[in-house]
Amino acid sequence: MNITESFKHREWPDLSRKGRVTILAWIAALPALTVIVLYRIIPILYNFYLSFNEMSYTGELTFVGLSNYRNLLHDPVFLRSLANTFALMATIPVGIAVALGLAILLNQKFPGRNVFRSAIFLPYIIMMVGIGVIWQYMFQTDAGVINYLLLQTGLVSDPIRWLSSSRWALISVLIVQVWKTVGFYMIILLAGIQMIPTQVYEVARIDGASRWQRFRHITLPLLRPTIGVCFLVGIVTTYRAFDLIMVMMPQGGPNHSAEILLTWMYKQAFSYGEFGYGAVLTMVMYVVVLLMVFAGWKLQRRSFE
Amino acid sequence: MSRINEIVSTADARRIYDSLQPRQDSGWNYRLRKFGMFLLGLLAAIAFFFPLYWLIMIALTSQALIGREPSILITDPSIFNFVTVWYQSDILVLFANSLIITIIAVVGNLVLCSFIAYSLTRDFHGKRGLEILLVAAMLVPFQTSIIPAFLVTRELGLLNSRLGVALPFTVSVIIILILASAFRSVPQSLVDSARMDGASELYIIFGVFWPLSRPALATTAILSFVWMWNEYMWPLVVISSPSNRPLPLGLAEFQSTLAGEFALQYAYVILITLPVIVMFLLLQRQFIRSIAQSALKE
Repeated sequence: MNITESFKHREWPDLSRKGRVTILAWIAALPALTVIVLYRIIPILYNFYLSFNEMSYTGELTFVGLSNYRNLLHDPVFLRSLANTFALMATIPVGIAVALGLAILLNQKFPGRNVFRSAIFLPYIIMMVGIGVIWQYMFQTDAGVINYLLLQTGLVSDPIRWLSSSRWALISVLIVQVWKTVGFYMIILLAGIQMIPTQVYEVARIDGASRWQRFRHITLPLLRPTIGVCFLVGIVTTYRAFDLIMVMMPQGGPNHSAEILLTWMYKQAFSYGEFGYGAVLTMVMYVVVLLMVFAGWKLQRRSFE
Repeated sequence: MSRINEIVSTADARRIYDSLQPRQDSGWNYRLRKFGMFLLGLLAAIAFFFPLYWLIMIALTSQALIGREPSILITDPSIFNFVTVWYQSDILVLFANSLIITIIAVVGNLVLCSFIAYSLTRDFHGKRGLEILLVAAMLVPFQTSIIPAFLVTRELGLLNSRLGVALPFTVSVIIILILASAFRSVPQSLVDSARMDGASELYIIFGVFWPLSRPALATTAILSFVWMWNEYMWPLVVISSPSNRPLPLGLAEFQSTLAGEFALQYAYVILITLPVIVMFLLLQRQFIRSIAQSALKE
């Protein structure tokens, strides 16, 4: 049967109602589906293929088997960047913990809380490149305001070389990452807290539960799915650290000490032209992200204790 | 409330009686607690807002921390840095580029995602497969696939074009899910009666679903605007000629050519983040709801 033909005449011989709806639904889905397949699905498959090849500057591929994968073993920066990627992931629980405290505080009724919420949330919507520029100056060893404040208050006796020492480069990135994402988690957690029915608290008060007990045995377990959500969306926010590192330390910090998989992959492909090896690093990132998503999903699923 | 049946002592009864009383809204204890919370909140807000205050302060005063006692307050502000950035950089061209790609992304999300969200409200063959595909696409963030996505863009002949930057951002699975759930909550009777009156399926999307899904549409517009406006990595890979660059690339370039000129860089940051900030201040409630919603949909 000729589908296009029957389309023209706006009559649908031989087709059941569901058959008609099916054609219509797929036509409506097609444009968005095309973009998703082109930019989400095909890249994943193509990357797998690319990881077994070497690509010349003209774009021709030569099959090299597992050789790109073997290069991982001889690349000291790879392990560094893998470890740093996990360190970056560790900012998620830290950020969530800070955000949880703030969410509980700012859920109380007192004057000014809306302004405070906005002030804490604002960093999240500012572009990460801009954030990088702001903090790069603040982190300066001699002219930076952070060292100035630390020295004035006597917390340190010598200025810290935030961005120019391999000891502090990554820590600087992690600090900014936490600062930027706390407001985001706080907004999600506030939404979660407000979904807890107030009757639960009233019953607990009648039973004589203390403030801490109420938090420990009501708020926390009931918030668990929301915390899982924070964890899941937190994974995506760690990708923004790419912008931050590229702006604050384009070389990835002293001795690549602040390099993450994303920046290293970018440099391999677009600075050194090693697309095949970049594809291998991408494969590693797929594995990492799937592991993290699985962990976050587990956390979200087990809602009540 | 089962405990009510178990009351044995007067102490129990007393406690329950107390806890059922409305909270006291006066008294020193209460006021002190509120004040304590206010102080804590104020401290947290100051700590988080400080870098942004610093941004504004340096951009307005150009003061350096070396060689003299700095003032924490804004003294003697001038718009000199903003004027310099405005005239000395190609910020207007970049602004236009950012605006173009952002409009493509926002319109794309509103229209394309509405279409596919409409599909998801219907019952059709292969729906399950489509849903699985969408979830699979959501699992792996786009940024990870930057190398193969770059090669796809090259195959499409869209390298170094604004369309090439915007295209992957015209559809987002999260937005599809938000719109689909908004469309599903439109009463079926309305859709049926529109169909009975001979309305086309296009009318059902734009004439029935849209007017009843305003908050979800606002969420779509806000999220896709912010995502595209702030995106740095993808245009960095796709765009090679200066005349097609969006603002984040311009800022990174400005920063590396004017290393050390922090007051100018800060003024630049303020100018290019202003659209998002203004949008946030105007639509605060909606904005915050959008962000929370996008997370809770995952």
